[in-house]
Amino acid sequence: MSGPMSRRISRVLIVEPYADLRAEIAATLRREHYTCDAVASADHATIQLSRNAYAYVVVDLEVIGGDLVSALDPSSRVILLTDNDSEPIEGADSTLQKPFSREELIARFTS
Amino acid sequence: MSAEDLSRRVLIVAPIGRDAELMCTHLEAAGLQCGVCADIDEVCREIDRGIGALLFTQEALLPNVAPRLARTLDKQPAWSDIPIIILTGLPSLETKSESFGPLGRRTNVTFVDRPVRIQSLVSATQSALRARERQYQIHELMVKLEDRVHERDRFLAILGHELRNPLGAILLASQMRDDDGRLDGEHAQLIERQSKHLSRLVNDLLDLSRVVSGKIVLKRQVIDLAEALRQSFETMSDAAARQKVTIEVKHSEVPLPVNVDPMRAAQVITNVIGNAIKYTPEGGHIVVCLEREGDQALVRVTDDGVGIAENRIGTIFELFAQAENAIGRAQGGMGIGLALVRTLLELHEGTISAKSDGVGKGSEFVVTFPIASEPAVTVAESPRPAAAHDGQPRRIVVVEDNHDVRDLLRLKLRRLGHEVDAVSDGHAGVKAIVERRPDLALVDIGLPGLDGYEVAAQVRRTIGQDVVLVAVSGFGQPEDKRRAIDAGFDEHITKPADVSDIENLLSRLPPRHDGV
Repeated sequence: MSGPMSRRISRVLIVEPYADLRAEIAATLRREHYTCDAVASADHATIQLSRNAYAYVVVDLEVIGGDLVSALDPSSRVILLTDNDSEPIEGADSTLQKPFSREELIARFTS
Repeated sequence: MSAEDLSRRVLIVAPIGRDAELMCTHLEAAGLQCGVCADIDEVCREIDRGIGALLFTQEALLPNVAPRLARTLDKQPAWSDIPIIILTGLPSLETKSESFGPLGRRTNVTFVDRPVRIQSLVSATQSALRARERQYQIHELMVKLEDRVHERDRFLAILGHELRNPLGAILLASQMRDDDGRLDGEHAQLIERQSKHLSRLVNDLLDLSRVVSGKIVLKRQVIDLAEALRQSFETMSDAAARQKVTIEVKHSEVPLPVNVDPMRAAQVITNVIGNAIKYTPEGGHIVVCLEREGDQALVRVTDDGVGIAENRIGTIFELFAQAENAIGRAQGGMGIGLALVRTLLELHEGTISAKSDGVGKGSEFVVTFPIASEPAVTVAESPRPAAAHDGQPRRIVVVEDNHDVRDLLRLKLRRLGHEVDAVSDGHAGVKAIVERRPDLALVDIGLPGLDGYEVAAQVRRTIGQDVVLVAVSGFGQPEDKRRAIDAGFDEHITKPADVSDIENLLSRLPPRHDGV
């Protein structure tokens, strides 16, 4: 299978400490037919990364650290959630400044 | 020697020890602090340390000394311009300036001809030290201003950070509409929860700002502390149920009369219990204990929650402390609440302290208020908001210039079965109220054309008391409410207006007889 359908069975890991934002990111992506795992901390993210292969990792900039970076699969696309218009961050495939709309989020998955 | 002492000291530099000693004796006799030195290296070190002034004899300024001295002085920070007095033996100022090369061109150099009278020497030295003291005062002021700028920048950075997460959640949730444009309950609840969180944040910030600028006036009365606890418990029991933590209250066996502003005392207790709920995971327990210890009434709030790391205990009452702690951030805590509590308690001559055996081991907060010498008066229970209006349809005029707020109010009130006219400026507002004679008019204060106060005044002049006028304003300070009442409003509610506020208002309207 190729094209949009193959993308839609992709698995996404969401690492965001703010509970309500985490829940809404997951709900938004699930509506787009992505399979989502959502966790609050780098420790939980590392456990999830050891269990599953993720096509996308959406991660808050403040959570990301050495252990999490080394646990990432190089083939995963990393979408970094930031607080400000920072310069492109090394290792991130794209950044997304909070607050972001559904369209901005989805665009990171199709671009 | 401290930097402050050093800055009040004059250093005498003279090659002949006897001259230096003599000058030192006279200056000390006039109450000035001085030291003697003949070595340029030591002089440069004293300059770097922040000496108050330098007093040279001309013969001490050998050809190699003046340039070296000038280089050292040039390295001083911009605010520092050490006064230098040079005792000369030459006749004209022009010649003197040239002879001292780079040093003579410095603006803060005073030449004094010899032979010099003692009084002149003392007076020149005093002036130099006073000038230096002013430099230090200005420097201190600059440092304070810089600190304030840094504090403001830090505040804005934290505020921005704290607004982004709730706004992000609200934005995404608001876009989770189904094909018919409806939001399901879960997302609508999230929007409501996060909006309330943002409202609380704004209220806390405004409160803190009012406390800091001394604008909070306590309306004190002697009440039993149990009354303040009862009021805050009413507020917090829902939050505890939502978080699935239990709260046990242990009342004191003796009365606890305290002379407090009841609303502020309840706010303090609500904040401390709210903090315990926030940091106690599902299934946890909180015990609130009222007790008397000597001449103090205590509220002891103990929880078995996440606890506090030893190195953070000392800073948790500082502004934004929680914003710099990962757990606090995840819970949406900006660290205003406990800072506000401490400040409110200081106004009441009370205290707050915290202890914890460490992370994961729970924590205990103790609030104290001084016991009052008189017994408590009974506080009448505040009227409880009506659960809903009586169902009777009403005629309502909404005067609001913000398109979204106006439409939302119109929609909500129509859903409740009322007949609603909504207009967007003050002139249209007066016209609509006078013509429609509604039961209730909700009037924004900051309106184009006529402001809300003028709308109320004109309506009262035209139709008298034949309508209930309610000011809906972003400004919720007591003086704003007073101004609204003075202008002719019956009530004042602060934005964002909650549906329950409006339902409560409607329930208090006299019944209609003509029908809508």
